[in-house]
Amino acid sequence: MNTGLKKLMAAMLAVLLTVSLAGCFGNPDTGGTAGSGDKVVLSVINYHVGTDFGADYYSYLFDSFTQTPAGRNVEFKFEEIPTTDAFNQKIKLLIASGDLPDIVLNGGNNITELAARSGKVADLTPYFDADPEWRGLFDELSLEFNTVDGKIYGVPVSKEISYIYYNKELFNRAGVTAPETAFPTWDALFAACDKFIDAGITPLGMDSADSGWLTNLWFSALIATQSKAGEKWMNTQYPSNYETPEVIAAAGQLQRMLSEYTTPDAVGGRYDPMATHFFNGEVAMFPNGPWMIPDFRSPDKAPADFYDKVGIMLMPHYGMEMVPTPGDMVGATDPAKIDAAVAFLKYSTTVENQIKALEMTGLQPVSSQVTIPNSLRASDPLMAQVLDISAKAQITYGQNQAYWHQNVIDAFSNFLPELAYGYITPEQFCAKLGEAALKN
Amino acid sequence: MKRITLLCSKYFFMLVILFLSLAPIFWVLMSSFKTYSEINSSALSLPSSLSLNNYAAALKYAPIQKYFLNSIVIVGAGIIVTVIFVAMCAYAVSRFRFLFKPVIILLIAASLMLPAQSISQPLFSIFTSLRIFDTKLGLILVYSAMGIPMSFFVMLSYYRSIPFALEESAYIDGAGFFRTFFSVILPLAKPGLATVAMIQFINIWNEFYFALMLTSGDTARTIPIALNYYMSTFANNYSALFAAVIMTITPTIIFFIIMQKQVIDSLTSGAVKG
Repeated sequence: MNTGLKKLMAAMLAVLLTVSLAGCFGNPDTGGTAGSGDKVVLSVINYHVGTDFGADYYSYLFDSFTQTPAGRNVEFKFEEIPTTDAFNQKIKLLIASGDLPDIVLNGGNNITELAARSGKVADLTPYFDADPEWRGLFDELSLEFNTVDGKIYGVPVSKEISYIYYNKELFNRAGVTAPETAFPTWDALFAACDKFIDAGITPLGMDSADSGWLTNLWFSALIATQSKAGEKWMNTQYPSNYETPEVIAAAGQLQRMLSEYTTPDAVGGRYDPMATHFFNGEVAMFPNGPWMIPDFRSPDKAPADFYDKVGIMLMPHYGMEMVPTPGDMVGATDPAKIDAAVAFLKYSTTVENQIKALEMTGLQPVSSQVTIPNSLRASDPLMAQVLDISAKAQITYGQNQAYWHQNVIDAFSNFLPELAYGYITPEQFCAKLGEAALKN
Repeated sequence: MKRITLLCSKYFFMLVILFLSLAPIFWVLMSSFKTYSEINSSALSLPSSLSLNNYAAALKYAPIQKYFLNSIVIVGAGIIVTVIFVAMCAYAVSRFRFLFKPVIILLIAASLMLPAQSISQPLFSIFTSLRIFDTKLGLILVYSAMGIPMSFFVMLSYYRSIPFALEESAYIDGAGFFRTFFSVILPLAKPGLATVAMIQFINIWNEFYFALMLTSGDTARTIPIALNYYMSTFANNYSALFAAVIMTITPTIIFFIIMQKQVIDSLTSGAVKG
């Protein structure tokens, strides 16, 4: 080795080691459990960061809480974890190690039951019992969804709903009259789809990659609106039998939709390109929830006047997905911290903040006591219309991604291409979902 | 004629390799100027303008400068620690007989099979107790430890390809054990050590799981975590993501371009002397 190179390498190594050692002992504090003065310090792991649709709202929520009488004495210590997948991985580790943050935001994935059974989160039932006004904000279904062994562990902040967005311009071009609330039957929707095909327009937005979110929304609606048995099945958590007449019939209709009524890239495609098809006016109907509405006005995503072209309808048979959401929990053990954490959760569910969440993110109010303010009707008529049309739903049901085990959701996504191309029958498709379910 | 055909074939294959190497980088570069709509409408189209808005968005959403520097420190230290340990350990195992040698090799091989998830919880508890949770030191230790088994076997096979005669000659010339190792064997082992360094660089640079589990703030988090800031359910920002990727790979590429002469020289010089 020549001398110059030796010197260069030695210098680089020295700099690297010095910088490494200087930075190695950066921050040994792990918990956020210490109080500073009289302040109560609450640790929070926040996944509403980066491009998350709720990032701005949660930033507002944490900031504004510290301005309230209940929160004036509270200081937050944040750990940011972008994406719910990463968040859920970390929370599961912290449940196992017993190092949960004081406020445990809920990213789904069956975290509530896991945390409750581990005994690492606080029983919030006494707080609900002590404040009937607060408890009255929630319907029984939402609280039951967050109850484990008779104790309430989670405070739900919203409801998840989904329905159909449609492009008014494409409906006019194809000569299809958009129903005021919903197509009365699936046959009526398919008849409309045939008219779109005749007009050279793709009727439906669907996908299969990741979890096949859009196709899952269609499938949930198809099952729930088949019959009373289908409705009951779709309101059952973690079903194990997928070979029922209504699920098989729904899979048959789904096969038809995938092969005849959607874009060629739906099979194997992810959500984003499919949403772009809708924004670009290439697809007439698109199932999704209210969190999509801000995108209609986003200059990066949709054409300037796109918001005005969008209409909303329920699924055929006046069906609508309506799922309680897994609520945020309290991981603190110190009584003062538990009180402060509960105060924050109460604040996050005030009527005012539910409206704020609706306005800023499209998060649907968890409370039926929330009335749509006139300001929202003026500023975001589509969002106001969502609340209006929700009241007209005659069949409400759960959603596969909330009610199925993760491996069944994966199986659904994996076998959709085979169903779409006719390599497997609807019966075989349902059998494969059932096989996955039985592994849990 | 035969010579021209040979020359054409040579350039053809070089162009193919060049295309395969540069096409993904060019694609990411072009995508970093495209809008959400342009990216999702056509993966292969060119951007409508060369606006830097995506780069501004990338800097707004995530602390990528901080995470980039963390990555540089952790990757650099991780490589150095691994190379130092593996160079010595593999040499001892390849050249000497000692008690329990097969067992030690078996144990190192067994550690290759350990899934990261299975050790994350014990590591979390140990790191918290040792107060090295959320520190660069913690991640350097984990990455070095995780990289040693694979690197060990790479170096073991490399040392076995070096003839014993060279060491015997050194001993006959009066060199001791350490002199022989540092002056004769290590220069010959440089290509193997460079391979180990490159494997470690790729593994540590892209590692996500431990960077997430064993940190809680900006002090030690690395680039893969930063890139997650642009991915979210129904709110992916691919434009900013591609801009962030370009910003983070450019310094590394420039570094390798500047240093390539030295790297190649260091691999080829000093292998056989005298």
